[in-house]
Amino acid sequence: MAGYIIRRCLQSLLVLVAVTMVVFGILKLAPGNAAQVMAGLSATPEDLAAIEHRMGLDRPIHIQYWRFVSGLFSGSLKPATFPDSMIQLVGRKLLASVELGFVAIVAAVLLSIPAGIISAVYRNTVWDYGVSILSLAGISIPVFWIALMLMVVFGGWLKWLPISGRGDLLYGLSILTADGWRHILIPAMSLTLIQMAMNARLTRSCLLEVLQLDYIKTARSKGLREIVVIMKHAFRNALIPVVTNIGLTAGMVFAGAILTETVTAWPGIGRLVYQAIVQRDEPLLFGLTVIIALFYQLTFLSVDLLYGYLNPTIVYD
Amino acid sequence: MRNTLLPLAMPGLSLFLRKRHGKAAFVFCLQGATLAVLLMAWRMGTFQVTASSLYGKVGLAIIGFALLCARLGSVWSAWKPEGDRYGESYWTMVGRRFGRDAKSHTGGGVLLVLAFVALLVPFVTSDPLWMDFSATLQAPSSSHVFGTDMYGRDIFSRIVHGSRISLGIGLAATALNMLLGTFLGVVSGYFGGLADAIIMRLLEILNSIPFLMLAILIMAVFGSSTGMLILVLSVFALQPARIIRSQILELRGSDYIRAAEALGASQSRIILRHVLPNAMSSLFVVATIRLGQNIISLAGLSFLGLGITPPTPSWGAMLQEGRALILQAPWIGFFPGAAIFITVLSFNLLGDALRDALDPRLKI
Repeated sequence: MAGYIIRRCLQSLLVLVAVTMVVFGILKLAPGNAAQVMAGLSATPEDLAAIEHRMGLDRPIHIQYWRFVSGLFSGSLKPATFPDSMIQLVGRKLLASVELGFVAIVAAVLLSIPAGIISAVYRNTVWDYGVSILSLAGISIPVFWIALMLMVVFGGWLKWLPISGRGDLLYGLSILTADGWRHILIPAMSLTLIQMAMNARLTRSCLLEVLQLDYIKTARSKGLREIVVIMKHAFRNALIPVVTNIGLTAGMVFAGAILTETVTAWPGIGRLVYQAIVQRDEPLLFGLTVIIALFYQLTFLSVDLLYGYLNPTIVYD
Repeated sequence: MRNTLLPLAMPGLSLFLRKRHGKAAFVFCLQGATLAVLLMAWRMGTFQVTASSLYGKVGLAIIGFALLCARLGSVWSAWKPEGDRYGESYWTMVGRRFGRDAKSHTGGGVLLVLAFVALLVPFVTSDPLWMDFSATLQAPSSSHVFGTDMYGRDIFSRIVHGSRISLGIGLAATALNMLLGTFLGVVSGYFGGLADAIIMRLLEILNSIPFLMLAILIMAVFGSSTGMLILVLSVFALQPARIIRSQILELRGSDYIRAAEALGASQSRIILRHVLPNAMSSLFVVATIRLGQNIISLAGLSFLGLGITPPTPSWGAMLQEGRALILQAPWIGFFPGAAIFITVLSFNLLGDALRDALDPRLKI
């Protein structure tokens, strides 16, 4: 077990290094560089060379790469378009993203798993059709459109919720205040919808498959109550793919849902990514990618370890 | 009487009375499309296209042909006798299962209408770029079915023209994605070894960067063009490779592949004739669902200003234009989003029906 975890961590580390290289490569392959953006159109070649020299853009490529990587860990790599240090900036935005993702995922799990179970148990009834159609619709809705429509309905017509942003809050948790809750509802609802739809579909199809197996027949013939058969025998085995899916999407949601956050002006990592890309802020973009990839690897790892708890027959070797 | 004349005269009603609800829905969809096209043709005059112009003539000819096809199709669908079910081949069975599913009828019907509209309607709608400054920000009315935007451009016409872009780029990207995915999947699954290790590590690296982030990064860095869009949408989402690989690993040990090898079949023959046709069913399903996802991603990129650039009408860019005025003129944002939703939903319905028909145990 310990050996497995160590090996998994090493593997993740390798992937992370590769990710930094890929992103650095893309940034460097691009025509033009940050110095040209900074110098403007009227700059003379000498000015440009001076700025390039100051920013270290005239050094060999591997040295530039090393400066980015070491700067990220020592804190000397600073965003070009924000006054704060990388750690401060990312820490603040990460809190907003994780909070939004947490609310969305908890809501999705609480609503979708019961819906999936009902749909599978009452197969081919009105309930099943209802859940199936709704979840199919859920995976087909573009998230940025549903966020806009929620803004129109709840913010524009009904005037129940503020249409965008996170209120006056810059540093704290918005789920601690009533005003924060009002702000988080629209982005969380639009994020939840897709998660919910995917999980409900997956729960349904996995549970249906498990319910056909022999050991369920055995459990029923022992005279167990149906609810015990479903919740204790079938559900736990059906849960594995669902947990995988939640884990895989959690990485994405925690590390910033780019479109949702951009549309609803939620000041999280996703919106920061978009801003960094538009402004060609290379150091920031580099740092953000590494952090997002780190989040991904962490969720992959925890999903892997959760398997062992859910299904004790899985052996780590 | 009821079995001969009714299917001819009213195929939809006849199917409905015989409780073939799925087929009836399909026929009603076709008839709805027919009506819509007739309506367009009738209002051609208001769109500055006359029947005597070349566009008008070609458009009318295509409309006439399409109407005929729709009629014949629905009558055939209502009249076709139930066949003998014994000894039918796998594909006949798949066809029957697919044809019986209400999901395939709804999804297929809507997509048929969309394809119809994308092919035909540019002949009869007004110019999507034409600005009428005396009619800006008008709510939906009889002269502008979906209203107008801030430049007085007709939103319906823009959506119809945008459908060509969405469907075109979506199809191209999906086709390229499938080809590339199949190739990589076959290489890593069938040959294994070093190639397998490299390809799998590559996919793992791509998997740990969010697809949208990578796409945004590349579009922002290299500038947006149609070719670049197709490339980004097809190269960086290679789940098909994984699916094909696992299918091939499953098939490789099977007896019939060994038999083919023992008979001296060449590797390319084994791959093309024995391995790929068996992996086909999951590939079809993935392709259909992928198409929907590609349309959403394309709209997302255009929404962020990195996909199709204005003034070319595209659904994502229209949504972006509608965003600033979403409270004053919600129809600008509502209709393009609804168009994306309906298109993607139809592809997903079709994909679901395809999965149920091909192999109900597939979990994609």
